[in-house]
Amino acid sequence: MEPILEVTKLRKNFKDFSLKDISFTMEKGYIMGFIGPNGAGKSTTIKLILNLLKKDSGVIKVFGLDNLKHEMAIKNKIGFVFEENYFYEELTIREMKKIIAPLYTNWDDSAFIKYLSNFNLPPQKKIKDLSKGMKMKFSLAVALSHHADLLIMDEPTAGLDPVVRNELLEILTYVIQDENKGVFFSTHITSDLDKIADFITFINDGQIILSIAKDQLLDQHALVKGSKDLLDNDIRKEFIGIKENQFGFEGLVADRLKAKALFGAHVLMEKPALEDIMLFYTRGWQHV
Amino acid sequence: MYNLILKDILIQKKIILLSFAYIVFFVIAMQGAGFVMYPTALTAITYMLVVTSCAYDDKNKADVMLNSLPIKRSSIVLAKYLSVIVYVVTGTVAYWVITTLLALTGLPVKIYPVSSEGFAGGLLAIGFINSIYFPFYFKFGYIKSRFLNLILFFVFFFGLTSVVKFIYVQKDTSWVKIAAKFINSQTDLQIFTYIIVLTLVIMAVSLALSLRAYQGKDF
Repeated sequence: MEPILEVTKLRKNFKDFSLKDISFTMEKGYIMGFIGPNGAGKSTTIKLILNLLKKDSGVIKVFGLDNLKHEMAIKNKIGFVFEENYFYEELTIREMKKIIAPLYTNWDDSAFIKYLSNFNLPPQKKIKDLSKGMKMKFSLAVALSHHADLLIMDEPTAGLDPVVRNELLEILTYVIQDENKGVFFSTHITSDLDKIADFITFINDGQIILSIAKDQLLDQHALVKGSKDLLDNDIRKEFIGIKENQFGFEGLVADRLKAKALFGAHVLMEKPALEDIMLFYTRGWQHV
Repeated sequence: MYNLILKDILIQKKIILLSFAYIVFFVIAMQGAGFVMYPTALTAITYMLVVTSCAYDDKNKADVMLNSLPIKRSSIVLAKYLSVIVYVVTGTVAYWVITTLLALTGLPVKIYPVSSEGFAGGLLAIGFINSIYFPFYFKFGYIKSRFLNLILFFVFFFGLTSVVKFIYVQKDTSWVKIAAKFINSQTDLQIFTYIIVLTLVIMAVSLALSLRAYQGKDF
C-alpha cells in the first residue's frame, strides 16, 4: 500500500535556518503528530508539502504522487487548517464558501451545511466577527466538506480553549475511522497528541529526531528519577537529557530495559509524556 | 478563475459603491477636465479598484490560503488581469448611467458623455498603468509596491501633460508632421485597433513578467 505522505531528503535553506534533508513516511488510516519547539521547522515542512515554499531539493509524495507534478490533483484531496486565519475577514461564511466550493471537484454542500450547524456557525456572519475557535471550526468545516483524504493541520489548537480543543480532537478521531484517510497534525501542545496520535514525528532545529509509533516511543523511553550520587560522567551519557538539582536528578533514557539493568531498584522509573520527550531531547543536559 | 474575480468584487463591495460616488463628484467638480473627463475617471477608478483588491489580499495574507486550495498560481495572476476588464466595464456603465441621470436633472453642469475616443484613451492609460503595477505587486507584494502608486500617479498626470506640451512645442518639426499626417489619414476604427493592439501587447508582456515573479515566490 502506498503511503499517504512520504517526504524524502527534503531541504530548504533560509538565511538563518535550514531544513536539513528530512525524511519521514506516514501510512493511511493514522494520525501523525508532528512535534517540535517553535522555529524547529514544522510550518516550513507543511508549507513545502503544500508548495507554498519552493524546496531546494528532495522529494515529497502525497497519495504516492509527486507534490509538484500532480499539485492540483493532490490539493483537491487535501484539507488544511492553519493556526492563523487566512480567509477574507470582510466576507461572510456563505460568501467565502461560494468562492471556495467550486474549486473542489468533490465539494459536498449538504455536508458543509451539516458541519455549520454542528459547529454553530451562522452562515451570514462575517469571518472577522468569529472567535478564534469558530474560525478554526470554519476551516475544519471547509476541510471536511470536500471529503479530503489527507488533513494537514498546522498548530490548529494554538490559542484555543480546552473545550474547543477537545471538540477538534473528537472530530479527528471520528474522521480517522475511515481507513483511507490520514491526519498530519503539527503542534507544540503535545498533550493533544497524547490523546489521539498514532505516530509521532519529532523535529528539532531542522532535523528529524525520531519518527515512530507513539506507543512504541512511550514504552521504550523512560523517565528516571533518583539521587544525585548515582550519577557520574559515564552514566550521564546514557541519558538523552537530564535535569539535576541539589536534591537529585530527573532524566530521560531511550532504552528502558537497559536503564533498569543499570540502576535496578535505586531509581524511580516512570512512563514519560510526549512533553517530557520533547523537552529532554530539545534541552539535553541541564543543571538547575 | 471566475471565483477569484468574484472574490475581488465581493471583498470590495463598499469600495465599488464609493467609486460610483467618486464618479458623481468627478463629473460635477472637475468641469475643467473637458473631454478627457470620461477616460480620466475610468482610469482612476479602475486603478483604485485594482490596488484595493491587492490591499485586501495582502491584509488577509490571502496568498497562503489561495495557494493551499486547488488553484494554479497562473490562475491567481490571470484573474487579477481579467478583473481589470470587469472594472472597465463596470466603470463605463456607471459613468454612462450617472452622466445620463445628471443630464436629466437639468443641473447646470456640462456633461461629457462616454465616447469611443475616450474609451480608447482610457484603455491605453489603464493598460499602461496596470501593466507596470502588476509585475511589481506580484514580485514584491502590496506594501513594497505602494510607493510605485505614487510614482505612477505623477507620471500619469504630469508626464502625460509634459508629453503633450513637448509635442506642441515641436509641432513644426518634420517627425510630428509625419506622425500627424499618418494619424489623420487613418480612420477612427484603424486608430482604435492600433490602440487595442498596443494595449494588448503591453499587457501580454506584463502578464509574462507577473507569472514569472509569482510562480517562483515563497509564502
